Amino acid sequence: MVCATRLTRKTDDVSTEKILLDVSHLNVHFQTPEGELQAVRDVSFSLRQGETLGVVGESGSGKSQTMLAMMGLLANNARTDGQVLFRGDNILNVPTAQLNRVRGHKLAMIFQDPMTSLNPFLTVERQMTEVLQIHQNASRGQARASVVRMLESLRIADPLRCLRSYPHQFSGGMRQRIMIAMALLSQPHVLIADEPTTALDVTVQAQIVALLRQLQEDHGTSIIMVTHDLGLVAGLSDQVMVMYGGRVMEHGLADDIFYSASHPYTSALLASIPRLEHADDELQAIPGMPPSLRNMPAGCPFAPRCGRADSDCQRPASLRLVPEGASDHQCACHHPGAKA
Amino acid sequence: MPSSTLAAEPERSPWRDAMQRFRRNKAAVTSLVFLILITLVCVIGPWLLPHAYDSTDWDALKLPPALTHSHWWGTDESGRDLLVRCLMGGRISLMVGILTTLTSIALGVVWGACAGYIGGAVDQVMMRIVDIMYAVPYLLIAILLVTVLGRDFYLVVLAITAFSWMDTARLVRGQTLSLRQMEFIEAARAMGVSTPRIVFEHIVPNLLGLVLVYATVTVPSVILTESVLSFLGLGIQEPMTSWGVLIHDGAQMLDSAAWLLIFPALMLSLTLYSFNYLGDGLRDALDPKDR
Amino acid sequence: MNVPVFPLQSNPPLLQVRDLRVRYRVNDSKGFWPKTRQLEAVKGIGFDLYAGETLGVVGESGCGKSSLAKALIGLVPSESSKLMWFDQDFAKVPIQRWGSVRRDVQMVFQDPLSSLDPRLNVLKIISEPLRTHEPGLSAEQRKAAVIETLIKVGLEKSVLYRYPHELSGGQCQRIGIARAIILRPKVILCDEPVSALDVSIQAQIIQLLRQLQRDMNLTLVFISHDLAVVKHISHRVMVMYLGKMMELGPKNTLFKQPRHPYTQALLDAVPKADPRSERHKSFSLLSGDIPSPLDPPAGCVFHTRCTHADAHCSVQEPTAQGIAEGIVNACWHPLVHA
Repeated sequence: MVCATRLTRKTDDVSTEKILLDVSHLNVHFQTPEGELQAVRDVSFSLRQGETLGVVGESGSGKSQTMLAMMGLLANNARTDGQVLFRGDNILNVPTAQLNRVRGHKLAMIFQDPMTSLNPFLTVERQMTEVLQIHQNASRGQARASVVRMLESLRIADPLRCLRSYPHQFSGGMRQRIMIAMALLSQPHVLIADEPTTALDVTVQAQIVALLRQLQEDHGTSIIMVTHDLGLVAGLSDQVMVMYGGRVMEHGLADDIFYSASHPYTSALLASIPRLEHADDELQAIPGMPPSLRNMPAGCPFAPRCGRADSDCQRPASLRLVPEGASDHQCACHHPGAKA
Repeated sequence: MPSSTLAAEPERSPWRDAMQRFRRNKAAVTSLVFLILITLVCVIGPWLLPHAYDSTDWDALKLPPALTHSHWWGTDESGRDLLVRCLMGGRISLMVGILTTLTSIALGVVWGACAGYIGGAVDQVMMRIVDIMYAVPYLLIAILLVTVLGRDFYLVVLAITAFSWMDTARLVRGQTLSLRQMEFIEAARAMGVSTPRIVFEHIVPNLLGLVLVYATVTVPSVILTESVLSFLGLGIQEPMTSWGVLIHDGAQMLDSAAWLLIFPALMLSLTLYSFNYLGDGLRDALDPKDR
Repeated sequence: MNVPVFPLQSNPPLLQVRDLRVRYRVNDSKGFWPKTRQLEAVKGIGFDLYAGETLGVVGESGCGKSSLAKALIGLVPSESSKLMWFDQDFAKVPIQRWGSVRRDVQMVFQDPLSSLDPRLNVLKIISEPLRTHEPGLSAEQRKAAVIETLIKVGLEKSVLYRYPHELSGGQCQRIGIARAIILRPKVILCDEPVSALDVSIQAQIIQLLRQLQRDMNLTLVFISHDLAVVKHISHRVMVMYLGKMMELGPKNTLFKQPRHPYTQALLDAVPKADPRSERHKSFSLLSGDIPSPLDPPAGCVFHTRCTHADAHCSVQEPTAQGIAEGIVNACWHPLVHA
């Protein structure tokens, strides 16, 4: 009985491709009864074609808000400033009509809980063909044919039965695959995946990861993977951005982040997660807890928990190149380098 | 070992949070103040006014309201001062409202929480009893009770209680069913806490918010029911009066002495309105959207 | 189903379970008439638990690990041929009379916030076991015991009158643990205790549990879907799938040389925080989704996704076999390692 696919190796080098997404100094503020809270501070990164960016952070790190800001999906009381260039055009704070030409079409997003992203009252066919009918002016027949082709290319068994069914009839893994299929229908240049596998079992997660890798090989899609799972990021990403307390703590190629971590938070995080492949040493827990938006420390957000913090750290650190590090390895720390 | 570094804030129980939210709602606070005022006025007022509610003033029959004479709100066809009668009527209506609500809520909460938590056959039987009570034509039974046993104040309370506890029971049962699934209830069971203790120490306190809101909405409905009974001539006995009785009598004099209807109707409406606003305010205050 | 067990210690086990089954009725109405079906969440599990060890129970959704924990403590009804806690057989005893188990076996739940009553402050939450099982204590004595327990779990006295919503997830979980240890139980069942916590807090709670185990000589049953966490805290590990035990063995043997194809698949699927090895990883993925527990496959429940399965596996359910060194395996084609 054949029931397995092989997970392929990641081979492409993307450093020569053109830049698709260029984010500079993105800030997100929220107006609340308690005053103005800042969820994202001064975030900048760029993404090339075919590249994968892993954005790692815990709750309160601002990683999801950054993505929502780019897609224009923030709540009404949010204010953004900065610049987000998608293929050269600014998409931040532009009128909705202009944003809609890009959003869902060339810049797609999938979320953690596919159940709430899918309309429970419409069949899968309706929801998927709607995307094509709006963005590509396809007729119903054409749209249906494209959808079936897409489902087949994602190796979804029995696509016709799938189309006739409703979201609640599927398992979590299937729903996530349908979400990915929907996001891919208009062949987006960039796919943002916000914790796409957090709610899934580990064997199903492996399938979704293989699927995303397949996508990159077949279509050259760039992926932004937002997650708290360092393992997930390790396998998929070319570049990795570590966020904490709304700021970027460290940013560089995956190998640099994992093997030559410079920021105390990154090294502390790597030392505190239980790892299957490590021998059974004691975990080194990080004391304290992540800051809430209301109690953000002035200066470096990680200072209260950092072993290397001193009076310098009352001022926020800006992103600087890591001394003796790679040319694109940046760290926001007054004391980069050695272990926390 | 990491230490918890909590700033020295005063303790914030869920009730205190709710009080703060409530205070921010101007309409609700105004309603609460109005209700307290009107209760005080109805309780203390009649002792301060020169006229008694049942004393007839043969020189001032059907006198229109004016500030020039001692009957500020006028008199009725028997010469009784309307203002003091409105206040006495307020005493009765409010007392009926609050007392009936208390008993009917108490019964409903106990019934619904037990049915919801114990479940199974007990739940089925208890809810079928509720269904049967719903099916009984309450107004007819109330009329029957009152006609046979007389128009006693406590009988009116009993009659109205008997037919208003079911709504609370159903509501409480529904909430209990969803609370029962919560992990802290499972934790209590895993700890070996007995069923009655779980119901009274965990389930009921978590229901109280909802029940409080429901109670403030039940009071006006009870006052109205009492008014209806009085309007039908089956409520409080003469010479004692309630707003319902006053409205009943006033309606008959509409063309010749409209003030006899307007003043009690106004008092009743404002009170009902305030209770509803209070209930809205409580509901918004207790709704943990911020948490 | 007999589970030949190799005694790991000379002491008798604290818990002996044989052929444990947990069934639920679920609503399966598709049309007009209400219809219920039986869901067998746990299908005949057997194992022993020894004093001072941590038994990790790992599996994906639908494997029945939470139902197993609830059945062991009597929160849900179950059937078994043997369910012996501390040499007393509770298999035929109705749940209401499991009183003694409720003192010596406590539970820590997954969601720190919803496992605490939002209307009670920390003092009342942690002292509840005392009020239930030791009514003779005065309020002063209870308060002293609570403060002592708070210090043990790394919290300060200042949280005594706070409410759960004022505290963080990590602090709430410490309170849940404090509540579980205040009666000095012998066994604590932890149902996904760190899954709802931030990554940087998980390590703190895992360390806390390990320390408490050393200090108080506790026996832990640690349930999780996260293999790495289970590996860190357990001595022995049991792998479950769709209500059945696939493999049980000492941690190092299980993780280094798994005998069951499902265990191997799980280990392969976990992404490791090591980019070089992840990039060059290539293995067989399990296809398909986990079947619904309402409709489990015939024969071996794993055969529909197994790369080693054959016709025999789809017909005959494998029995759990004891292989050397305390390893139990339920497979017709166990993996062999050189």
